[in-house]
Amino acid sequence: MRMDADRWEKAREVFEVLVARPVEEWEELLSRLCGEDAALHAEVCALVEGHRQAGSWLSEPAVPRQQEDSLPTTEGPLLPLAQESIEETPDSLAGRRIGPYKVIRRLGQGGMGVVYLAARADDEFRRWVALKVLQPGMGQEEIVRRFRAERQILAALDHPNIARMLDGGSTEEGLPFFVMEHVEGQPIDAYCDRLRLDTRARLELFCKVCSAVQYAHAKLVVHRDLKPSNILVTSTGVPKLLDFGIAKLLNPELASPELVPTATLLRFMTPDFASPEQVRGEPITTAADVYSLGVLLYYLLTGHRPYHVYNRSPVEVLRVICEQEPESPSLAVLRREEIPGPGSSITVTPESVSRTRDGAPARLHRRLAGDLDNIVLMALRKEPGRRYASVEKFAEDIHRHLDGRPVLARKDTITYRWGKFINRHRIGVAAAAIFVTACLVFGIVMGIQRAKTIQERDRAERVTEFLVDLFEASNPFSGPGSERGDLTAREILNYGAAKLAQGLDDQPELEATLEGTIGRIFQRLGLQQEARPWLESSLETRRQLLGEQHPQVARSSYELAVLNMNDGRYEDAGTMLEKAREIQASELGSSHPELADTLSVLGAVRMAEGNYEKAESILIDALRIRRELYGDDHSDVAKSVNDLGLLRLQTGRFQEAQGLFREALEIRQRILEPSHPALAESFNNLATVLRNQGQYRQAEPLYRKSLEGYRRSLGDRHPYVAIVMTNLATVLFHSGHLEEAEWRYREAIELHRDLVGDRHPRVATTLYRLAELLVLKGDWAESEQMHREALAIRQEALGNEHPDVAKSLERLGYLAFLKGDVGTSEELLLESLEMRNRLLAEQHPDLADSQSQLAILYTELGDPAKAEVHARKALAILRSVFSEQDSRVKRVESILGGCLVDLGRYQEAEPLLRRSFEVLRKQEGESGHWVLEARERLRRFEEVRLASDSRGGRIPTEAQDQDP
Amino acid sequence: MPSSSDVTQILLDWEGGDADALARLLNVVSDELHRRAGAYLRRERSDHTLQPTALVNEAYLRLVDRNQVRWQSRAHFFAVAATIMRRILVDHSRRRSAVKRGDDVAKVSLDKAAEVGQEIDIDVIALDRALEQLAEFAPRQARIIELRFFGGLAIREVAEVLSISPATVKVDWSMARAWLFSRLGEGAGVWSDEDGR
Repeated sequence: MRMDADRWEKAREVFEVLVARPVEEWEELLSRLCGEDAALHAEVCALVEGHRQAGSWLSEPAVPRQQEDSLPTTEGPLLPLAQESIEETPDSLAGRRIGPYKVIRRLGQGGMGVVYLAARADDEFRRWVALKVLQPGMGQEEIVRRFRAERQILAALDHPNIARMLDGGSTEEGLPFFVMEHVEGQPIDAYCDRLRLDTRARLELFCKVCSAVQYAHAKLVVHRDLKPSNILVTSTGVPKLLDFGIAKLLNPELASPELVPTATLLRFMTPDFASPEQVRGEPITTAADVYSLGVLLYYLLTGHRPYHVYNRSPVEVLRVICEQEPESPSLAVLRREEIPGPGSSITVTPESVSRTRDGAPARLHRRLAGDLDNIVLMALRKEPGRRYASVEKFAEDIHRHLDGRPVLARKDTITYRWGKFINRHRIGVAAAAIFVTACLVFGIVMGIQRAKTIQERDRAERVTEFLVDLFEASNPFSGPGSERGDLTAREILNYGAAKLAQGLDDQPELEATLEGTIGRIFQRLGLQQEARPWLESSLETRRQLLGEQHPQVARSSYELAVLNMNDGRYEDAGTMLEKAREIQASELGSSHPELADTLSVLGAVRMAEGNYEKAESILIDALRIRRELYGDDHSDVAKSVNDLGLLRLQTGRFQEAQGLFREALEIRQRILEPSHPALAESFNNLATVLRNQGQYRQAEPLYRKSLEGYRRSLGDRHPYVAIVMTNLATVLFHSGHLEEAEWRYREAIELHRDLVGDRHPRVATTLYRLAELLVLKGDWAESEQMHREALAIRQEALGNEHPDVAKSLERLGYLAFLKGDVGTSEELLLESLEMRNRLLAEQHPDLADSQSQLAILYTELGDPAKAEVHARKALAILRSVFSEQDSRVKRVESILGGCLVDLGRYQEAEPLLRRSFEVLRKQEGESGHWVLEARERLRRFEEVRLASDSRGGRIPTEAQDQDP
Repeated sequence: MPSSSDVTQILLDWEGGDADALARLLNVVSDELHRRAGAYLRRERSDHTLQPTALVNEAYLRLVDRNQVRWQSRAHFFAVAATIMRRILVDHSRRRSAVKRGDDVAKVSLDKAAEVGQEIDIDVIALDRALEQLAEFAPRQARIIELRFFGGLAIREVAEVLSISPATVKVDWSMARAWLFSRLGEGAGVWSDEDGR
């Protein structure tokens, strides 16, 4: 008979049973399992005979391998959720008959009982089934009774992705059993990991699971126990859901209507996947399956569970599931986690989860950030009514995401989060309200102060009225917030916007002013996207009303330019500001406060563009105007002083920068409330200059102060918070606290991306720094990827010729060096050096970076003479900028010492190596990376000297080392 | 000639999700194995037994930085090597049988691991032909034989490469081997195909 796949498959099923049993039983089993099919009988007979005779034939590979190569290691993200054991376990019921079924062998064990492979014994139409026998002591009669009541419904579930429920009953001992379609497959999580499915493939597979659940929901069956071990994927990639409806049969809550203790409830489910209403013992609806699918998706996408419920008491589990907000998936993948397992624990790292998904942690993080975060968290909401209304809606949203259409899931709305926030921190909200009020009142006061004509004063009063009206809105007895009694800043502003649309048509000029105000407040709250339409509309209204040359048009342009500047659109900002400056200078004179504002921002734009000379003259001009107008003790003067400090910092004149930052801080401390965000700015800037001067210990507490100040005044999600976070991470990085530094960087990158988008120079800065850290950790691949992304962002935002671009090139050169690609390295380093020579002052410390890196490269290339030239150039620059004891000076001294060792000039080398090592160790601590490098050079020197001592007892002083 | 970092990088690319990497790997490894096999076969002992024992092993050691790639990737490396080794051994047998005129079947004596000490003659050409037939209706099982016998993969590695459970691999392996055994054994061909010999 000709063999085909079907017949082979049939034979395989019988063969599998037979070889698992002793030879004596084969004959009987063969007759039973093959029934009337004589051909099948003969085929399997020959096969098992071949099996018996083959002995060890072919068992020894043609190409044997060494043992170590086939040893599996423990690394890898496969979690032991549903292990399949290869060894045979004793089959307590194997060979027995249960009802009309013959038990073949044991397949596995779950929480509720043991699952067996079985066949219907009295049926000539032979079919494999999975037979699940429940453990004793689970309310047996009740379960069997309920099964009989439900069997029609369960048997009617006919869907390609659902394992059919076939039968059920009780064994001779009275133990309930269920019979289901036998599915051969892997749990969905293990399947995805083995095939290294990327996020898209995982989502597509997940949607198939959703379609099955949705089908069952339409038949009014809720699964209640969805988890990876209940979802098997066959070798052809078809997911099959097991145990549909069984959880309900087992649920003790049905047996007794009274409340069941949580501990009892938890015994019957998998708390990892249970919804809050399930652990509380509340009524279960389809929303519970939506939730469990949410947990499943979270797990498939991230490799982490949304909550940690391992080894916790039932009360704690209840609290965690019902109260704790899950971390968003995009952040979860950056987490390192120990997962306790039976015996040993497994460490899940960003690398391990991304390796089986989208390749690199950063890529996976970006893939999940945004839509997928929102979709998963929507399914995981605590209140059933706030999740997706159905599994169908859930799957639809995923399809929308896959098609690149906007998804319905949103982050919890500001209002909702504020509601929750208010419940937790009443006082904090009051403070925030005061801040908003302060902003508005400040606007009024400024308006009145600057009102020079009666007409303007009138307008100012109208503004006052309008604002008072706005505050009426937060009056608990009259405004839209009266049900709650408090309002958020955004709500007040939105209310104001609505009022504007209604009542001010007759006063377009006033409308433009108020639009501008609202835009400005949004902007100061860090809500760039919300601010833009208001500012654009204000500018447009004024242009139409007043013509191009009007100072108010200039002012609106200025406001919008600030926004562009913050968005990293320097060119747009620069153009608008130059225009505004021209109008203001001709219309308002050369000493007007608004001109000073324009100059201040324009200076910042030029500085960001790397045009330091222009920036300097502009900033000095702004400071001059402000000093003339306000004297010394004024916040705008402090701001200008601060701006100049930034310029000095940027050009490497750290001592001057430090003086200016201290001056600005002192002014601010004299005139501002301690909680004012400007103080946080001063702390940050002072810390930054100290960091650049190598004084990390002084810098760190200032950064923490600044971070706390910004968080208190501006909230957790403000761009400044992200900036300071980056800075703090950098100082931690330099002082060797790599772990805190790394997570702070990642947190900051996430926040930056969220706030200003992926293509912003700030994202590049943070990526750049994290990349530097990763090099130290030895994670070159991710480091290089981040450096490349940073370079691309910088080239796009800043142009090809920019100090920051030069910086990125230099670091990529360094990475190429580490990877052993010295050709590329040399090319990149020289390119960066030349660019820096063109752009930077002769003594700029960045030049020293290029030089010292080249010195290291040539040392490694065995050209110590060339290396020495570069090292000495670097040293000359650094000594002119920094103190003799500065760690950067010491580092290059150490590098130079290394060159000299290679040149055989040991006597010159020794003091450099020893001194630099000692100073670095004192300044950076034992674990600082420069310290380790310096130690290594010193160690090498001692080795080489020892070798030369033992050779000739003499230290050669010639420039040639005769080492073989 | 491929360097260690090339192949390691290909495996890392593949771990990183580059689906084309395995195809590139095939080219690189194929060249290397053919070159080395040639050297081995030229050094054949006078009794014409082939000792490819360390062939793939050495290629692997030479080509891959084992500190960088995971065991799963190693398994895939050997899976790629298995196909190539099969081809090399079969070609070699064909050439030898052409030289030894008169013998219609060239048996390559494969040196087994030292502890067994006995040699089992395996007709590689016949095995190859039988595997091709098996692959027509049981491609997975044929591939498992190839991976185990020509690639030396352990059960667990085969499971990893084919994304099926180790238990399935075990049963498939036993059954395919039983089929091949009765087919290659004398006259026991219960399932001889009509288009067979």
